Amino acid sequence: MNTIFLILYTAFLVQLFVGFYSLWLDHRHEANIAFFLICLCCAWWSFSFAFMFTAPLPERALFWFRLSFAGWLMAAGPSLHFFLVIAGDPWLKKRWVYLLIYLPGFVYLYGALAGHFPMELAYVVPYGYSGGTMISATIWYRSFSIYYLGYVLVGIIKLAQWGRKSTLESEKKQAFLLTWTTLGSVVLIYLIGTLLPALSIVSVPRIPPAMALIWVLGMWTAIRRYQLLDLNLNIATDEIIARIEDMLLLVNPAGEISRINPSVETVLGLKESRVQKYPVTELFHETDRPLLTNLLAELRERCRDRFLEELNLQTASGEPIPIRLSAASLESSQGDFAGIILIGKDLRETRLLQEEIIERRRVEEELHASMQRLEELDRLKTDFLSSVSHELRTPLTSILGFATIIKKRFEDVLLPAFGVQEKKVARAAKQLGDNIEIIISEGRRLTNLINEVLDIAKMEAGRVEWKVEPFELPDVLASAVAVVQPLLHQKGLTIRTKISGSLPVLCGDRDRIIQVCINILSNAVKFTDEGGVTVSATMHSPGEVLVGIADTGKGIKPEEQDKVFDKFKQVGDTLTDKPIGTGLGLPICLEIIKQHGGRIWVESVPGSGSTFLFTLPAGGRGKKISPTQEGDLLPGGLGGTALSGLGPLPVFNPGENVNGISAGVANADDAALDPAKKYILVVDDEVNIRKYLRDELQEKGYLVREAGNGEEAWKMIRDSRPELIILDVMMPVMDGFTVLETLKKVPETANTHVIMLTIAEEKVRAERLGISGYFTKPINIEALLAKVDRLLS
Amino acid sequence: MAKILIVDDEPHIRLLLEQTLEDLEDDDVELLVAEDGAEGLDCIIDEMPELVFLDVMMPKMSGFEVCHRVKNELKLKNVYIVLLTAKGQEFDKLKGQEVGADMYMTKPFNPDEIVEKAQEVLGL
Repeated sequence: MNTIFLILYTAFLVQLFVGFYSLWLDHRHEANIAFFLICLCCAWWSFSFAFMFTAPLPERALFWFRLSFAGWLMAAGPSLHFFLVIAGDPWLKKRWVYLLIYLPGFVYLYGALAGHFPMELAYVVPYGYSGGTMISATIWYRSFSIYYLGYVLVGIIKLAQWGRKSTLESEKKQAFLLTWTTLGSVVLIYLIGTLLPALSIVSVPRIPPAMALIWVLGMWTAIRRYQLLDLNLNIATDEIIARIEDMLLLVNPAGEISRINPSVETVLGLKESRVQKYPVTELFHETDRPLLTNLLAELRERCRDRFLEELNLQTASGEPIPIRLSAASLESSQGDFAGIILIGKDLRETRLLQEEIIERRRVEEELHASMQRLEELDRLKTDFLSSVSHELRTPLTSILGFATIIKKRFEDVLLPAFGVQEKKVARAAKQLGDNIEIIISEGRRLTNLINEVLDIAKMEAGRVEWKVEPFELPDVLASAVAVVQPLLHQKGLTIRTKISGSLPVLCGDRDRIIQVCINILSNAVKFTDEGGVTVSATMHSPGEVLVGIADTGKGIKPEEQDKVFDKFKQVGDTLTDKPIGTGLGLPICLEIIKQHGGRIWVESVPGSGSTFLFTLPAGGRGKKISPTQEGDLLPGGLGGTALSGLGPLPVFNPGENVNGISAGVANADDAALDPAKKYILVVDDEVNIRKYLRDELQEKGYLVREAGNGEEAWKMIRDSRPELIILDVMMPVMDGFTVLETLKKVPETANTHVIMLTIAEEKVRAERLGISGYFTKPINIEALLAKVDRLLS
Repeated sequence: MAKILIVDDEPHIRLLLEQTLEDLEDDDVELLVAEDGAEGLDCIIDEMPELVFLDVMMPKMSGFEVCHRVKNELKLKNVYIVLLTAKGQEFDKLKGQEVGADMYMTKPFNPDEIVEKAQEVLGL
């Protein structure tokens, strides 16, 4: 019995014990089985090594040598298996991998036991054994070395990769331990068993299997300490505590810190080891310490078992850190107070968010308040406009009214009284008349302006009631064209219409659309000196009708094109050629088209003309318009809007013909109008009614002409101004109201007497437009004639 | 003898209406004047004018109320009431119909229309 034998024999016993003990602890786990096999192989190796050197006969020594050889080589397979299990390698999912792992071991076992080993080895081995000798002595040993190193290396590489990839601290440590104990033992075995003996410089003890003990114990530690095989609650708890984002503090019954997690370390910037056994209150802000002390005392005295409080921790620099602290008392298994667990949630971010939310709410409230203020202002504006309108209209009433009376008195009473023979008097009288006329026309302009301002204010405030009905676009365009015809004629401009034949019936406020057309048309005329105006209407897209009104005027500069729809913005050089107008016409158009669900814009080339375009949805009304039973026209709403913005008002030239009049009605005494006779125009689409009225009126000695529709009527009114018009309401092309409205907006014709043939429901509207009388059909001819007589007398 | 009542708190408007209608005095029409709603209502009850030009915005009693009393409460159908307003609001117009006004005119009105209306109502 020498020392080497004892060492080897001890190694054998330890390896055997560890192997069996591990198997006894858990015989079902794959890694444990592999570990058991490794231990068995190592024990086998140690055992045979121990007897190899003490064998009394060379044959015996050779036998032990064969056995030791088999023990060592068979450890390679289980070791690869073990590492693959630890690393959870997917290779193990395949059955044949097990064959690959274990088969070579048995082949070599057979080789070791039955292979050819020269007898001289038996003599050499005990005294001069070395890997080098072995390698040169037998092919088995050579191939075995490659196999052994290959398997162990593959296992170690797999393990190292797993350790590197793992996010668990315990796994990293395991991989580290296994890798280095394996590598270490292999290197030592190589050094002691092969390299140093081969060099023959240093005498080394023949104990390589004892080195395998390092390996076995390393694996054992890795398994037991880091609990590879089962969930170790302590490790899991450590892992959880380390990973928990909230701060965790364990306090012993004395109120001292026994454990803190890395979150506390990070937040407070200290190490666990430095605060162990410190009173836990020390970590908190000075101002919170008394409160915390009380709360902890309550837990300790079992008054309560938990609390939740917002407190401040204190960093080394004294900076407070707000946390929400929940605390609970811990009990030992006997039910005694065992300590306190404190969990703190960092509130810094939450506080920031809260502040942000509060700030946002404040901003929201401000926005809301300012919106309310704006709404209030908007309401005030509308009310203000309405009041202003009232306050302006009252004095205007006096001004216009008295001016009219003065004019009348002056012309009817004064002028005839003092005669106009004297040049000076005549001139003064003329000037006076002109001046009063100016007062009246300016007064009317002011009235129009008030009306338009009110109109647009109401549209913007959504307080206009829209009369929604189906209408034919060509009719609307014809009506508008008829209104501006005199202006065109006066400036010598031509008008062309290009209306697509297949336009759908549109739905909307017909009068408002006419207003838009008249407005654009009169603008076109205003800014065009030669050439003409083209009105077109086409399908823009399946759902939209496009109306374009193009002129050959001076055009609008690109930078000013958007401004034309702004209120009170008149484009152009304001000093030299400021057009007379309110600057509200186009904004009103914009509002009307918007309300109908359409768009309006302008395309223009300075110097060659502008085209105003607008679209209307073909499907019907715009979504904003709600139908109302009763139509409504604001005073000055139609026609006046456009005409008020014009230059000198048209001068009517009785008798002058205008191109394109469709004289579909016979006017027998067209050729010569008797100036002595009072001239009446009868407008009705029913021939019989016209004839009847004509006969009756002619018998009374009046001169009568007829018109079959509104458009014709308007042309005749313009060309030869009648003194009285009998007007039907329901007519094609242009109805009676349109004629009436147009008529009343033009000062030259505003005073013409109009008797309307209408129904009672429309009486109010007609009266507001300023008719002289109305009759319903069937006509009471006596009353009508009496009325005519009175009006014309 | 026909009577026309003018009710308006604005002295100028009263004067304007008086001057506008004074030609009718030749046709034996009497012009009456009231300076506010209450006075106007008393005058209507006392004098029973055929035609009233009634301002809407007045102190003491508005034109609407006067009209309502006359038409809906006193049922004086023979009094033709023309409301005069300066506001030009839709609301006014509807209200005017509600209180039973026969006609509604927006200021500034045309004096000629006033005369014509008067002639028509009085059958002159």
